[in-house]
Amino acid sequence: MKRLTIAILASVILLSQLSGAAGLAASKPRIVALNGVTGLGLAQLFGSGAYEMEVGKAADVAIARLTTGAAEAAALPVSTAALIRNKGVPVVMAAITNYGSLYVVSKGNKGLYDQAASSIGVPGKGTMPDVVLAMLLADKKASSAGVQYYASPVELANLLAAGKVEAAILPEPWVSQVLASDAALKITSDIQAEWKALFGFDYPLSCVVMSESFVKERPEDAKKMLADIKASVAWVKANPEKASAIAEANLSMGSAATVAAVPRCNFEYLDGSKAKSATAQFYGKVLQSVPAMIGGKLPDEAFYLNF
Amino acid sequence: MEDVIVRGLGKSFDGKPVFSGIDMTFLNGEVTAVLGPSGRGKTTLIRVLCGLERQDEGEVRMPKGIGCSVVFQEPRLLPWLTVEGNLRYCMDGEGVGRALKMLAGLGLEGFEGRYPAGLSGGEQQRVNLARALASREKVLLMDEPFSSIGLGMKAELLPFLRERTASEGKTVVLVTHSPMDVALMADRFYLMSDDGRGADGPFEVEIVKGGRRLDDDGFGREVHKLMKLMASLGKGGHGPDGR
Amino acid sequence: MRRSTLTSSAYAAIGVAALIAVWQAGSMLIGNSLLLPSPAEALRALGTLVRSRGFFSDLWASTARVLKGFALSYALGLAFGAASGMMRPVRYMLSPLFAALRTIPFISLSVLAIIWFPSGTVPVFVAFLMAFPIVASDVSEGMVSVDPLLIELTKVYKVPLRKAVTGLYLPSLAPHLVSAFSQALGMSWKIVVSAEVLSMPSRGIGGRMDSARSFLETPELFAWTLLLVALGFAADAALGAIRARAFRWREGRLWRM
Repeated sequence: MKRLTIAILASVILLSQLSGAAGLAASKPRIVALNGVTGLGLAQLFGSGAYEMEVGKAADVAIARLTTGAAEAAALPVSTAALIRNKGVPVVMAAITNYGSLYVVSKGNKGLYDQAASSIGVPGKGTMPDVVLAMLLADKKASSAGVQYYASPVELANLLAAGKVEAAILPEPWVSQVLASDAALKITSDIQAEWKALFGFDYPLSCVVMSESFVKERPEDAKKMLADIKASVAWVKANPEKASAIAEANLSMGSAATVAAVPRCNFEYLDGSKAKSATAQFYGKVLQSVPAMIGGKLPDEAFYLNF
Repeated sequence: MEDVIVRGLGKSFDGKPVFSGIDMTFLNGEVTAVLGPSGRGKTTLIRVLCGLERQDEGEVRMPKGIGCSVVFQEPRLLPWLTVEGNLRYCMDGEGVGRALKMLAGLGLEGFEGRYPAGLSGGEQQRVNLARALASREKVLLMDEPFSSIGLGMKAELLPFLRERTASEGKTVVLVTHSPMDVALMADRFYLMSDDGRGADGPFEVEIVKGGRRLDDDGFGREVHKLMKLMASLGKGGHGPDGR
Repeated sequence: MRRSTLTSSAYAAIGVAALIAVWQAGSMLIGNSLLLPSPAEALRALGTLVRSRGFFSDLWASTARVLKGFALSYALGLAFGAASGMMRPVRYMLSPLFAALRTIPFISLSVLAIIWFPSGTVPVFVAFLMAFPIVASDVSEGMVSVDPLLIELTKVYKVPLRKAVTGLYLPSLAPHLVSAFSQALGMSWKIVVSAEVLSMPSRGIGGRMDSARSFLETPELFAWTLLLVALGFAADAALGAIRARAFRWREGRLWRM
């Protein structure tokens, strides 16, 4: 009798593990959110209890989860989304959560292109700051001699505040964070303005991707997730203090800085065909100057989710 | 040159004496053996004589300004040098020349280019011998140098050595456990057991001096006498003096 | 002699072939070059790599750092190790320092170095500090283990110091010096590339590997790894040849002058 009980218990545990891994019905969808503005847009989902949220310091975590099927969705930079699709990870672009929010911060006052030629820190290879800056420089045929890579936005922000780096291109909320830490630091370039001046449109920064299997097998849950994300983005925009509190608790983002950052994050929810046109336009431009950063080609049609 | 004299010499390790109350005279120009069973004491005596160890009591009286050359119990050759390289390590050019001649006399003609690893134990020991013999030092200390050399070779070698050292007027101290060595090479000998006491002697080696051939009658008798003396030591019994 | 050399190479070749076969099977089973590219894909990536712009300057940048870090660790390791081997008080003072340096984790050193030094110096510094205690300990032990019988020989024959150093001490130390050399060099490569990934100097193999990682170019990652492994083999082979020549005397072969 005892052995039978143990056998049954073991099978139940095993099955639940397997079903967890395969994301069978009735389990909470798992979302990986990155530190920073990509995760910030989903702040409301942390408290909702309907989703299992995991926070990743870098895109590697999200990529790993999506590849092995251990998560249903992830909040990622737009460039990373195309890259992993092109490398064969079975995801689709579900929604845009915010437009560009990159700024150059420095104690001095060099212009963007002068700074890029002399000394500017970039918070990681293949990140949106890297991609966007590379595209601006390539289009203007400007020098990138001053570009220096760092391991993460946190590290770069710290070094900037410590005076070890002359200037850095950073995303919000790190911008507000570092501005708060030293009065001598200020925003010297608005990347969104530079971009628009050069290319004529606004570039999206963060998006949410969903695994193909999630969309196919649980379309109702997927639609609900989109609705919840839309609500969250609007909520964060309208309630910066409450959103910052959640961000501080979950996303390792200092609360005061986050409140200041929210307006500069350019939160805006897009899905369906609007998301597609915004990102496809961006990818097209990427392909012209730094194609390797999104994997060398445009993502295929099936990448764009349209319910 | 004066004799080498040792008076009241004593040495202990960890509180245990290896020898004490040693009185010996090593006559100038002669070969004096110290005969006894294998043990630490006789080697330590050599080490004190050449300055590698300090005695705990007593004195060593070396003639003024005279140094020793030593034939160690082990060949002590530098393994990464050839035979000639080893000789050059220990001596200047002139010494090397003498040593090479000595090598030839010891039957190792043409061995200069060999490495120690390519020599047998006996061959290595002969290099050790040649090296010490080539030294200009007037006192030659030998610590059980012939253990790895077979009887047939010894019978030829030791008389040769005796003749060489005599011609250079060297004072030789030969420490050995083999009565054969004493018979073949020494003029006098002391008996020394390994129980930390003093030594008996000196005794004269009673053989027709100048000729130590195995086929001499007198030779066999002398060896027999020496062997009996050794045996009496080994049983822990008293030496011939009743001490 | 000849026959056994051939056989050992044959076995090595079989071993390598088996490894490649397992790799190929694995890549076919997994079927995802993001996770495990096939040997052919890795080799193709290597070909592209070698022809890519900046390849040689990245290779040279890392090699220069390895040489600097290694040279520093070997020179200072020799000096401190010799002092420690020859003088007991020095040995007792230094041995806790060596032990501490050996245990400090790579990440602690790297993170500190990033704060202290410019990004190009970080790998040199970390490689130096991690290889130094290995060399110093090796040399120190080597000095202590010089045959005391031969030291006595040197004393008795009154061999002058210079001759003793070149004739006795250096040759006694030689196996330790060679082993320390190969260990320090091998370590320096691994450490420099890893530290480069963290400190991100503008040129270097670590930076290229980090880019490959960021852009999910797994075949390129494999290509870099293969390259480093090949470099390691080449260094080992060169050292092996030196070792064989220097330690000829161990064979006891007849050697005509």
